Amino acid sequence: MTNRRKFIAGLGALATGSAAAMGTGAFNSVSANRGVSVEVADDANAFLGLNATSEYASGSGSGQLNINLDSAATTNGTGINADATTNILNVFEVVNNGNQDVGISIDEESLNTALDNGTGDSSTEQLHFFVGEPGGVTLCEYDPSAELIVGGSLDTSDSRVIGPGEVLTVGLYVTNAGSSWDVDQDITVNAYSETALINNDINT
Amino acid sequence: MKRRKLIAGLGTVAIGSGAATGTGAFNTVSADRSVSISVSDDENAFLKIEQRGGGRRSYADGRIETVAFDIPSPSESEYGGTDPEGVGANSVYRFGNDAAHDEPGLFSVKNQGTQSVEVYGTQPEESGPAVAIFNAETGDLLTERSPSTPLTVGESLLCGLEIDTRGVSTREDEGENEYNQTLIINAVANGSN
Repeated sequence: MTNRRKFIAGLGALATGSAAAMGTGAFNSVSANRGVSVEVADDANAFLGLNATSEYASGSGSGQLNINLDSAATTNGTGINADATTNILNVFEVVNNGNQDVGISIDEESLNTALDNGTGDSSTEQLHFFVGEPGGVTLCEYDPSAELIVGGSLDTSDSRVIGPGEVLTVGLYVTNAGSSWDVDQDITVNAYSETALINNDINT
Repeated sequence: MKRRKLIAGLGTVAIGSGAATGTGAFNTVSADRSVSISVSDDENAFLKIEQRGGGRRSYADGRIETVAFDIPSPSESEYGGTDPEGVGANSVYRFGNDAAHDEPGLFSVKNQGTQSVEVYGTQPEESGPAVAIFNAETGDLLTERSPSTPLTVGESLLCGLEIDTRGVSTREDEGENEYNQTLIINAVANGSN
């Protein structure tokens, strides 16, 4: 049974500036403390829902999503193959539990940097996330404002844009040229509203 | 369980464009999540590739061990009293066993992933001997157009190597009669190729 989270923001007294300057009862300053209640939800129940949908992901039921391409994956294998390219479809899904359209990106730059390709050239991409099928649209940190705002509004036909209640299926591409990897790095899953994109309020 | 109401008491100040669409709206979310990746020896990887036999036509090579092949095997002369120097020119050879013939199959492929996969071989080079794989039990050549039957999770496939030297020089005039070719072993989940 879902426990709906509450979010109470009591910002009552902020607007008392100029209007309060006249008449009796004037005051110069007020400092009013108001409570802001924030509940932190499991990934599956948050505004931005993150659900494990494969044996290569875990943790969304009771905490934070983890992606495991190692012995923590619930398979008989303990890692990806060396000198091989691996595509995994539908590793996890992003759910828009808010109530407006959002554009999704995944910043995996620090992870890519940690995945040494053996050549010393860190600009080569070893890994990215994609929407749907291999070879489809990548979710790399892009310039979402340029790509997702078309004609002044959010391009809802783009596969990276999901509406309220909609789900984006995330796959993973990783290629290894023989280097030994044992890496644990964070990626950042971003969701941007139309307003954030127009205002260029982008996490970089 | 009592459903709790979402109360947003944002007086007059914070009714920006974002809040205009009602409660539950957010402008941006950035969530950091952990990804762990290991590279495994072929023997332990999601696609298990294993050399077979004691005669060293196939072997595990490298710091992270991946299967490689030597045709002929460096220990070819230990078996059958012969010592072949190589495959013949203008020929198609099939090696379904190791030189020792002590196990069926030259190598095996096992699905240690999570979905059924179809297996086939490809090769990036366009010159030199052509290398392909076949099902060592049925003889079926395993190509992109005609891959193996689906390998369920945990299932293995015994494979051999087919080497086609038609139109390939023996390189005797070059003083170098060895070719280093690349075999790509593909395993593709049903319906995704």
